[in-house]
Amino acid sequence: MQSDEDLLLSSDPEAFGRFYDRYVEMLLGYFARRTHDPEAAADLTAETFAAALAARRRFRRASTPAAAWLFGIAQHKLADYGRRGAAEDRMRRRLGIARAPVGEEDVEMIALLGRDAAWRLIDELPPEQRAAVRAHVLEDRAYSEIALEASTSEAVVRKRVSRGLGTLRGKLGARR
Amino acid sequence: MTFVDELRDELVAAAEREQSRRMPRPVLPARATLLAAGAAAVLAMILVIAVSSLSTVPDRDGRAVAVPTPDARPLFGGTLEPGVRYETRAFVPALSFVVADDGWHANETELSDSLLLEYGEAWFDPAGERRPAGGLAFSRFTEVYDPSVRDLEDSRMAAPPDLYAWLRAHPDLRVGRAEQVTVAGVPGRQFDVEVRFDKPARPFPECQQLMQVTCTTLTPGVFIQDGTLLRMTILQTEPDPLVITLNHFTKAGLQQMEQVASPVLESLRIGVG
Repeated sequence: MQSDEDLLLSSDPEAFGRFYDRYVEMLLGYFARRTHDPEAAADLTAETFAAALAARRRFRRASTPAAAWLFGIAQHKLADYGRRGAAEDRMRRRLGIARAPVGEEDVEMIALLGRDAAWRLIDELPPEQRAAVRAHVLEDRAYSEIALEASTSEAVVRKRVSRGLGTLRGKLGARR
Repeated sequence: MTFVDELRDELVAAAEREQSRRMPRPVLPARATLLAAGAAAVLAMILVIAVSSLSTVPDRDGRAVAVPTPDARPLFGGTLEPGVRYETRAFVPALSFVVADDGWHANETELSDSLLLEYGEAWFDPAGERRPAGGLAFSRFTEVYDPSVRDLEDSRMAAPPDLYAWLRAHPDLRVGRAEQVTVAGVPGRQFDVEVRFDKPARPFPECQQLMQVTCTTLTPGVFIQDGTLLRMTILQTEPDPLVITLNHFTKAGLQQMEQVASPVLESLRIGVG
């Protein structure tokens, strides 16, 4: 199976689609839980992937796992949303990406992902990975802060987050 | 069709559009170059015929059958194999090189103006900051960002004829004296650069947005963190000067990069393909 990093950096457009397949539900659930608004979660997810597509050539394979990089973008989009009260669409406009309509079934599915996917799947992770993913991805806490609290190094926390996200991706992928 | 499926289709279509935009720009050679190329093609054809007659083995019927004579392998992203000659697919001018060990990793292999070879793994400095692996970058600076203009897009301008002088005047850089060098038979100038700023004169917002670090940017696609050490070589190639940059965060690291990059640069051929 191709790694996230290979998919992100591939010149094959379909590879970005496969990268999207791996994380779209996780991101929808992440945004739905934070915004309590499925339509906003859909817009934020679309804008996050558009930003990732626009910036992927600058992704450095050695610097951070692709999943953590994607969630880093997501955190910034969420912060913008908090400030503006609406999801921006700058990257989608730049790339000529039309706004995909969000139907009733989509709203239900996104709300379900917000309730279930993130938390239930995270609960299935080994305790150390669960704590690290919760703290960093869902609570936006810095690696250094989590490391201090867990009496370990930042590198170990990064590894736990990376592995935890990898496991979640596999679980979500298996359910598709 | 659900939202998830429609968004996927839109993103893949956008990736296709992005890919088609990234195809290398055609470089029209001068008339004299065309004539020389024509002569070279004839010579190459003669050589191919000569070489193929040598590289044959008899088949069962005793007839001569051509045996593949692999030379350069097209360069794709990923770990590089020592001893193999790689040839760029998109970079202008085409480059080919050989790495001597298995620590190298190729990135940005599909761009016509940038190629990045990274060496080793990312690491943490004593303050706990994550630092990227050392790198060997090949770039063509066709445009630069003028640090005196506030808006990033407005500050874009054609690269100056004397790139070294422009770099020396850049407020985010400390540039050493240049020495004359020759790389791959092409003369040029080599100098050390230290990237040093409290607040960059030419900040690059996406660095903060995407990687939570502060960078300065010199030219589209090139953005550098504070504290980075560079050894830059500007070679007088056509259509634009070729800039070769070694980078690391420590002096020792840069010295190591110089050692491991030495076989790559010694094997470098410019304008092949």
